[in-house]
Amino acid sequence: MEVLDRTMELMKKNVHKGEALLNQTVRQEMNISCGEISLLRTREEYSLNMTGIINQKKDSIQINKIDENSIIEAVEELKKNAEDSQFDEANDISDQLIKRDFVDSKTELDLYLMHRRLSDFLKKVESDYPDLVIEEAFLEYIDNHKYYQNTNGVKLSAHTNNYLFNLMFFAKKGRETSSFNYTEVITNNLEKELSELGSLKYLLKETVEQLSTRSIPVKKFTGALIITPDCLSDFLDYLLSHLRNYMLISGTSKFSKKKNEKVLSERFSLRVEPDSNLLAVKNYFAHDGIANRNDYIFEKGILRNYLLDLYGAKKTGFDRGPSIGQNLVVESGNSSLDEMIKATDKGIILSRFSGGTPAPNGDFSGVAKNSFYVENGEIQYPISETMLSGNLFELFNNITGISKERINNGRSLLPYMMCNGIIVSSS
Amino acid sequence: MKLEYLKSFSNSFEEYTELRLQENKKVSLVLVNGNLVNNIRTTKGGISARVYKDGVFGFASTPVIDEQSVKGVISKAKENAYILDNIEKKAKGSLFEEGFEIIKDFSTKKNRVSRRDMLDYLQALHSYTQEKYPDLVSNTFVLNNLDMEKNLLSSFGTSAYTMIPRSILMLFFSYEKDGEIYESFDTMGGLGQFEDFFNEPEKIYNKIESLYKKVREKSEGVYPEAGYHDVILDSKLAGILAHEAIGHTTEADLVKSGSIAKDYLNEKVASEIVSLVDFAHEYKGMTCPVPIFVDDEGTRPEDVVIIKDGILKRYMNNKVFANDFGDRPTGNARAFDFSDEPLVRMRNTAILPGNDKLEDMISSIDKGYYLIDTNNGQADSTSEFMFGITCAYEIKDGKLGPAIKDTTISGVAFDMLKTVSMISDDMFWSNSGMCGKKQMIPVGMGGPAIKCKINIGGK
Repeated sequence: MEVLDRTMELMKKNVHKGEALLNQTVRQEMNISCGEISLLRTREEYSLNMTGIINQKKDSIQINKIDENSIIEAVEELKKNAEDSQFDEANDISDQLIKRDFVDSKTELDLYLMHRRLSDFLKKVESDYPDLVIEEAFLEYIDNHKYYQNTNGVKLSAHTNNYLFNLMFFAKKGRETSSFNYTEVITNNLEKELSELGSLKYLLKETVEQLSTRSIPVKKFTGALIITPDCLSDFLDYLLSHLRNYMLISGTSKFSKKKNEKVLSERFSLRVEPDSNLLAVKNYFAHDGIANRNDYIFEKGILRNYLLDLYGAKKTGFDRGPSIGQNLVVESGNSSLDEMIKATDKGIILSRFSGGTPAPNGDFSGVAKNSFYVENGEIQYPISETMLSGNLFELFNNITGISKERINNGRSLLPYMMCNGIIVSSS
Repeated sequence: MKLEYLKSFSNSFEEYTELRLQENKKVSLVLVNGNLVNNIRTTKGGISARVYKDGVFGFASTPVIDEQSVKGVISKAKENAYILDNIEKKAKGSLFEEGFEIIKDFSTKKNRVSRRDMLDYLQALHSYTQEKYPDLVSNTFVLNNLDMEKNLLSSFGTSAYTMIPRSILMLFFSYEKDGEIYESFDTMGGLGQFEDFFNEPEKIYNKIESLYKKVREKSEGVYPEAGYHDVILDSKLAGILAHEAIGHTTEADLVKSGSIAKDYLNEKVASEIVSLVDFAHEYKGMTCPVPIFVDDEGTRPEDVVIIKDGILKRYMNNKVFANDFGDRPTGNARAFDFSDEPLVRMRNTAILPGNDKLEDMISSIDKGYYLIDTNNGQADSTSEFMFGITCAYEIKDGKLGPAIKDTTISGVAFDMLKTVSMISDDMFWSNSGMCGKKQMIPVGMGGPAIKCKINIGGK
């Protein structure tokens, strides 16, 4: 890649250690606003991220122009700011000396197929779910070339392309309005109808059912929680923040120095699969120029890996993770969703969580959105104005079931997860 | 001047066209326990064109700025509009076209400082904190500067240059008690560049002291009692209430889709002491945190009185929705990056002050909570909202009690607003709000303290 070859030449003359990551992306997007296709957008994007280290002092610059003058100017600024920066012996670049070009399976842009899939989706919604409103949606073709080089000689590149479908929707009938819901799915091709992707067929149906909601039958109870795959992804984000740079460096992580210890329920196994055919999205390497690998983060509740990048690893003294945390796969369990519901005396199926970020000790509270009340092994009705309170770590320690069924949205593969001990309250 | 360069392409417009040349420049430094874990300047700039054709838009953008590329994006946007028009055949009418010229530059008038000066400033704050409060588990200082520079030219005669900078300093302190870690944060800064706010570290010391006190109090705090309670929302929270709970439901795209506000125009949605306005750029002669003098469709913005004396009066819109609702464009069409299309977004949304004193409001509650700070919030099409609460105190017999641990509050805005019984006579503007609706964008949020009833999460 000529731009990065030239950037490395300049880096070698100006800094002691340097690295650069270039993303070249073309996006073709078709947009639905208020249920109508109304925008066709073409975007050409560059992002060149350069890091320079002088005497263990580091600076970074990200620009979106890759002409000679812009790069020369940026490297000069990088040099000046690195010289003025702060010494840190953890500042470094990858010495994993590999040169590799990763190429994903090819997906061609088909603008007219994009339009047909979107139109068919709108028609299906109109016929099968007449009360459903597609407030905002877009179908986007993304063609991305990603290049990494550093002054140690590491050279990586990846070419990926796929389609992304993102939508936000709710139901409306007369003066009744449901809560909104949203989802995003990435796919390698448009062979399937959009409504068949990810969890869409469930979400659309459930959203219409949410038109008529009721309060839970008592002011407050402690019960079971069945978290849907879409919602589980939010809780995983909170959990995994304790394995990333900030919380481990600041000393606020619950998982510091707990590697290879059992910290969560033995029912819970989470992997990162950055380079696997399980998921449409590939993340072959990270911003620090280290090739990602498929591995466990938690295996039967035992912490196997952190999600630190190279700086985080050197700063904390822990290992750099197999990735920095994308492409999550939770291993399936033995129960079906139906069996989980049948096993529930009193609880909630949580489809969306609208809450504050959990405190560092894991305490959280928030509103159960698009959710259902379950009693005596049966779904009773959709609920409104229901607040949940619990603790993140207790939640993942009190898992009573993981479903056989999993939802693949192209970025993650997640099951339903059932746990106990959540406080449910209503106004 | 970039605007003059842009004007040289005006004869390339054949349809309704907006041409935007924009650069967002950000500087971010993060100091965690004295370690500089992030030190980066990001610049994202380029040109975009949006063309309207009988009910659909074509859009194209590129970071490359030369004659060929600029003509290329105009041509590609037109081609995209024609492709979609040929398929969709909506045959809708034309958009509002009234041009004007404006130049507004909020760049600092002070001498610019170097990145080293910014780092020295953060290190001075860290050193003071470390020395004075060695029992903190962590102290983190985050500095974010965003300079948003836009040049806009339209086929209908709007030409505009705006430079709207924002500089925010965030402080996060963590404290450990009985094996549990508690965190509190504070933010400061606003409209302007680093030099406008952060010259002398000593001026922040009182904020550091106050934040330390807050995190200590929280570590000794109690869990709130889950349920429905009388509360005072501090003026710091009223802005997010205005934005999340009401503002979003009254954005015309959401209204057209069917948000609950669609059913309540000219109806009572709040106590008669509640009025709510989305200000374009000025409140009582003062510049708002995110002043918008021209929106990204080239409209001259006006203030939108959303609720007046408890009655829902108007929605925020863009040109397409102005047509749909038979209104004038309000100037709420905003885009974050050069490659983003303008969406209906809030600007400076505020509940207007009342006549009460905060002390009287607190003393009027026998049992309840005084809620002060939030770290996030979310709205819903139903007007149900939630905020994460990170600083709050119990109220017992009209007096403030112990701090409470982090919690979440929720309510249905159009029900909750009817429970508003007192509004303070002061006004606080939050300068650091970011709104996420497809694109992130800076917003201003403001308001007084409010007495109402709300649902609280807890044990």
